Amino acid sequence: MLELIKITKKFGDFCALCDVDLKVGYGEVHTLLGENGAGKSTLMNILCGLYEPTYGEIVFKDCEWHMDSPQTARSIGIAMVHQHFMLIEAMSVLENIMLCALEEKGVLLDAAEVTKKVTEIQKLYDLKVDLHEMVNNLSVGQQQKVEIIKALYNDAELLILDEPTAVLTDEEAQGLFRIIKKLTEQNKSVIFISHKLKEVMQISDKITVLRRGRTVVTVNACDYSADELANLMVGEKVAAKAYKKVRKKDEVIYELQNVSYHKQSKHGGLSGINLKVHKGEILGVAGVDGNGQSQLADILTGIQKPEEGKRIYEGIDANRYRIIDFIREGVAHIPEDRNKMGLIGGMDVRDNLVLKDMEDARFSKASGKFLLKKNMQEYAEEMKEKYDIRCSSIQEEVRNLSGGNQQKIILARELERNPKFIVAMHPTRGLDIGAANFIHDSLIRARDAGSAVVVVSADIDEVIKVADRIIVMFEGKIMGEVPGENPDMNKISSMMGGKEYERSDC
Amino acid sequence: MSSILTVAFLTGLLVAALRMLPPLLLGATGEMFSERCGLTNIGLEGIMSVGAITGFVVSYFIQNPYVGMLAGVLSGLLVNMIYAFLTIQLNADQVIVGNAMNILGMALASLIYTTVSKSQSGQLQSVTADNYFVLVVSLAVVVIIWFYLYKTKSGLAFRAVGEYPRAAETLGINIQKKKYLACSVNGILCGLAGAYLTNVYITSYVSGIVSGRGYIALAAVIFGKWKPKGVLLACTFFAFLDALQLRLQVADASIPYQFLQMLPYLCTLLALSFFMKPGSEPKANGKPYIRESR
Repeated sequence: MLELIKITKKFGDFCALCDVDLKVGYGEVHTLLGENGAGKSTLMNILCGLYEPTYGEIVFKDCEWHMDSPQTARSIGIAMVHQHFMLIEAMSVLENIMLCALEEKGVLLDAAEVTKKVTEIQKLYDLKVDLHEMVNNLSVGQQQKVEIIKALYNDAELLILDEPTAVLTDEEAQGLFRIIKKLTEQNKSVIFISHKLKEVMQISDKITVLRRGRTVVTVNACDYSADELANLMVGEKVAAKAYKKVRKKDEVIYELQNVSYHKQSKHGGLSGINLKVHKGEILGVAGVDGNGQSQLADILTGIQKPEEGKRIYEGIDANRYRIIDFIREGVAHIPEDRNKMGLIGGMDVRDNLVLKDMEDARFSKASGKFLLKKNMQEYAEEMKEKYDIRCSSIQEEVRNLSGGNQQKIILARELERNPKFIVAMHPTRGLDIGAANFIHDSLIRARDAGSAVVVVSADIDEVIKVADRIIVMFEGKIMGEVPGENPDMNKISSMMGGKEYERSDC
Repeated sequence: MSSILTVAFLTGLLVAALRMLPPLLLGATGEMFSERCGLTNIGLEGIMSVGAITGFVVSYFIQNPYVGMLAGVLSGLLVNMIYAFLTIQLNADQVIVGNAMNILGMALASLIYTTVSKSQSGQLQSVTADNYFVLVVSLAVVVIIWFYLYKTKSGLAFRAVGEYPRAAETLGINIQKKKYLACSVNGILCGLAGAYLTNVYITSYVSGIVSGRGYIALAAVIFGKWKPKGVLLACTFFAFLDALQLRLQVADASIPYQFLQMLPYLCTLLALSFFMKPGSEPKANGKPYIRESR
């Protein structure tokens, strides 16, 4: 159906894609696998007309095409579901779909006609969404369905799904896979972009591995195991790492007693949280996103104050601590959204690295009034080496760095302060395997040095990998606890679904 | 106080409010239209000033208020193209350009008036147009804009640009074209609003005749939640307040007139602080759109 021949895309001197070939057959699920920055998204943006390739040929259904705009791609039947949805939140589902029907005849909007066609599509592919609901009231999974309906409405024959499961729960992801099956049954093809190996194995017919802008290999999914694919992707042997788990319990450093916050809100509050965190352990917080994890992190780091209950840090009532008090007392925070909370995008690497230590005598005179640029410079160079931050220079604005390198900056800033207590929210979200391993190693090192660490993640594999003790959150409550060593998976998933278990010791 | 609740007072109030309404409504509708496409134009006051002086001068020399108002419309359109070019083509900061438009517009109006009045003798007067012509036009404009935004394909695309331009672009919508349309309509409506002031509201020109109506119109857009009906209600509310303060000045001399003059603006502030809810503003409002940026 589709053939890409020697596609190359250069951004200035940087070669994002280099002689990439790709063949996709009818009714095929073809996965593009690669680490972040391997060129998957660039390739897809070329295919859907957002970028023009520097050179190379695109052959679709035996014709060569010059993709100069998204309309060209759409008109020949290529549609993309972007990682960040192209939906207008302030409009209804129907209005969003009607936006794809602008080229049809007539000046006026014809809601009845569009509804008719959409209902047919919904029946055929089992895509249930209320057409009159506003998009911002829909769950992420439903929004994704709207995107797929949009594509099908334009008679797309090749659907590109850019990391579609990154934002979905496991159950929603299975629903998506059922839809993909239905699509391929109708002889439509799907290009699936992901770096989650498990699901790639489950859904793909063929897999093309990209590394640093080049195709490594194209294989049949059934011929390879997940480990072999991981190796192809990273380019070196990665053994699935197993960390030693800690079982003995040291003294308690942080305790929450019956803490509540916005109790009524199931997906943005906490109710009756009891929690003890010990020195030298990693406590994993699992659960589907949006069940109070963000609020828990906010309470622990002082961004929010508990409405009820007590917060005890190092044996002292810390209910009235401000954020700055927690920082001074050695609480580190790796926030969930590095661009919104963790870093200042328009500032350079050096300045971001010392943000929390500006009052320190190392970096300034008279506690923060006069900065010592030279010392900051030296320190930043040192951190760049130590944490392997890849940037053209420490003067580069951090917004231009990749997610992994941004996260390393945060890690350097937080861990170099020798924190006693670390809250890490989704520390490896959106990062490739190499960077994720680096982050996990660093957290384990901090634990072994005696810090208490709370790792919150929606990725259950990540929690199991690093945590010594795992709690599961659901609708603002803690459902129960399992040990980090050989955890009972059935128990974890039933807790994620809302079943509550007794806890012996909080 | 008994003099307030008479039939004469109330009819007078109504008539005054209807006279106040068109410039506010035209300006606010134009601005709402512009913001629905992502262009915040705080230069309404300046554009209205240009419309006012052009409308007056042309009307004075030709002695036809309708030709005068047409000239005001064209001048508004023309002067707003400066804003359009800077913000759409060069991605300049909209607030700064809008501010510059205000200063430019008001200064330009004074310059033109001084030049013209030097060559003529006596107080300049023009003929008046029909009192309700522009009112009808402005109400029709609200309906037409509502119809365009909510009932046509082009209007749906237009709103998409104001909410999420990148998505609009992937759907093949020409963003620049929509934004130029937004600026043209806004310029035309503000030009008419200004020309109304010098051709209907009064038939001469005085410095500072727009007297903050451009800013009130901005507030009306927010107060009206960026919707045609809301903007109409907000403008009616502000027009009534303005009429009321004028009437009260005449009716009751014991209240200092400065206080009464302040009332509409005070109410604007109060209205905005109590009724303003986040979330109804077009998402991409005020942000320049740069292609191929990530």
